Amino acid sequence: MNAGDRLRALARRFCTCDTMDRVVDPLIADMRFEYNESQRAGRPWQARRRRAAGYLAFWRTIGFCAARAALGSTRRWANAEGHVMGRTLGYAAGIIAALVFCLALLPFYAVTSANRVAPHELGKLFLYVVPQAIPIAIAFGLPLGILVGLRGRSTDSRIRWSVVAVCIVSTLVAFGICGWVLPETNQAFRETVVRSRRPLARGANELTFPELNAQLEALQRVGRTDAARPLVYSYHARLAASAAPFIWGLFALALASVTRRTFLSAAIFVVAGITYIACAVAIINGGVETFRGLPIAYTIWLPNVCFALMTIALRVGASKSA
Amino acid sequence: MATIPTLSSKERLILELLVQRHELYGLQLVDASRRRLKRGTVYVTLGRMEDKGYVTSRAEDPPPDAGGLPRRLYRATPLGRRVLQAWTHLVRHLTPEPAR
Repeated sequence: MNAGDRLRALARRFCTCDTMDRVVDPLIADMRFEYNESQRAGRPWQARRRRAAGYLAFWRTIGFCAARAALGSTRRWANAEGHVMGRTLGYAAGIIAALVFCLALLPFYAVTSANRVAPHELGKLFLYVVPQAIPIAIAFGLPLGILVGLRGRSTDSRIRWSVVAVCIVSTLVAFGICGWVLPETNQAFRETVVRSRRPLARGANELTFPELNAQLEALQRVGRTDAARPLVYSYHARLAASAAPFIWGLFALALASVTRRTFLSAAIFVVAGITYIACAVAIINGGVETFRGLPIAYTIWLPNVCFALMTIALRVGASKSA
Repeated sequence: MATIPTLSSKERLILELLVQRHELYGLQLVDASRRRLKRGTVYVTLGRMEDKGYVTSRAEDPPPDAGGLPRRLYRATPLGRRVLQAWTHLVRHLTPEPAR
């Protein structure tokens, strides 16, 4: 077996014939030449060193090729069907960025006007409130981006699946932020504002998902359901916020397929979203264990359930009219 | 509208070396550049330059001890030479003269 045979076989699986011919094969041929030259000269260590350098160069080259291919396919994907996906992602990103800024500014302004904060800590504080805003901004911004980007045009299944994939990725991002980033930044925010020398005890919103789970299990084991209630709120509220981009995104996709009026559909979505969020906040802040007979954990999921039901209704209506 | 040929700093270096030494292997280009070109990027850059028409390559006869894999030799095309010439001219005219 010659040096680089395995790497060449591996590259053949992923690279096109053109890339093999013009990039991978010349690299491996040069590496073999160097390696054999050192072997013939009786310098085994130099041969090994040259082979290792060749292997390193191979992986760097494959990395460059993969990045170029990914960039090209992303561009083709975004430009397909009259730039529908590119436009959708662009609008969604713009709306999300604007919402993040506005939503982060409100608690930041409220806290900095009520507390004396050192000027050099203002930037840090603003960064700490940004993760709070991201899940809500994604939940609203992504569906609005879908509505404006699709502009009520009838899309093929490839575009629809691409939108679904974007919704899934957004949900995963929101899940990661709600579960792990938000608790840490919340805690850092509190400690910066209070300026306590001792670390502050973490509240329900400052615990990661695994920590919340562990505490809930411990409290339920000893039968302290009252103490567990804030943890249950936080757990379900964050999970529901993580799932919202997927469910609301599908709702926007269904809405875009039944009406060609972008403004009308965006207005419907905004009104529905704000109403449900207001209801959810009112229920959660009420601190009740049940709401109209429903356990609070289920009530928190009501906005998502309603959006899911509306999506199904829209899909059924669209298929009937078709 | 016809696109104006562009030349990155690495492409310029490769063209300069190929114009000076006529025909080189990828590895010889790396050695001749005194570490300004890297083994991990030179083949990708050469591939891109072939697409642009600045260089051309030919596969050597495969050596018996290299597992039947031919080495590839690169040389500058007339277009590549013209682009390099124009670029060098442009840079010479646009670079401000040092103050006396």
